[in-house]
Amino acid sequence: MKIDIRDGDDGVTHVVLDGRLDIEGVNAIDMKMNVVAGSKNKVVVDLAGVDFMGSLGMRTLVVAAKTVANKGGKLVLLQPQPNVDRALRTSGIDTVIPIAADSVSAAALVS
Amino acid sequence: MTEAERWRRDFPVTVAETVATARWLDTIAVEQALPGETAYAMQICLEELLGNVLRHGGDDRRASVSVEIDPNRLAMTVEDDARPFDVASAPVKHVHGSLEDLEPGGLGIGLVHDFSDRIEYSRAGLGNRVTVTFTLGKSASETAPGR
Repeated sequence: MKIDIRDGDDGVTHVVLDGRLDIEGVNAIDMKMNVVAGSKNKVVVDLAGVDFMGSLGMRTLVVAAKTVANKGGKLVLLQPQPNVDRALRTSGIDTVIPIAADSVSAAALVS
Repeated sequence: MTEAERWRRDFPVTVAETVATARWLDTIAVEQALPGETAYAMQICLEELLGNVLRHGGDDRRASVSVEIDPNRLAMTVEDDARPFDVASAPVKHVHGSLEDLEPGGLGIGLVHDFSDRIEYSRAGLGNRVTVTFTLGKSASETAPGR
């Protein structure tokens, strides 16, 4: 699992995840996600490169989104692959963390 | 081609072995040309079932995963020797309400229900035995074009 964190000129932080967000993947990114969530207010988590996510990965996203929201900020998810999208929507995660189809709407959702 | 094919893997319940078992399942999915949704559903159920044992089962647990495929269905059975836990009857949680009120975690059992067609639990084998069944479309076992 790879994690790449990029701060944009528009004040939006992009967290680009790549790989399997399984039990091993969660262990690999949790610390960095906590740092981002604790320090940034506009966060877009790019899921286009994530080919697996179960409840452990969802837990990581929920913890991060709550941390950002507690500071008055917003975290959104961007372009999950179809199976990951189905898992997120089946669980109802999309009702509390917005899922954006493209980066323009993702940036608008956090602004 | 009506005979079922079977695979089985026994292992100590660790993070590394859980990951290795997930890769083993992927290999079966590729070799058997399973539909992508079925392969994903198997992976979701595997992670949730073994994750429960990892988090709540205590130390030095063993598990086995077996897969049986026939033309119409795939059955994945996960056994473990942790304390009794009936995942088929356990409460299911889905997200509702606000992010502020949401307690992280606990969504795994709901995913197992949502991604499988059937869940059966019994006290058998190593202790807990859970069989999740997935209905296979024609594409998994028959590649004949048309209907």
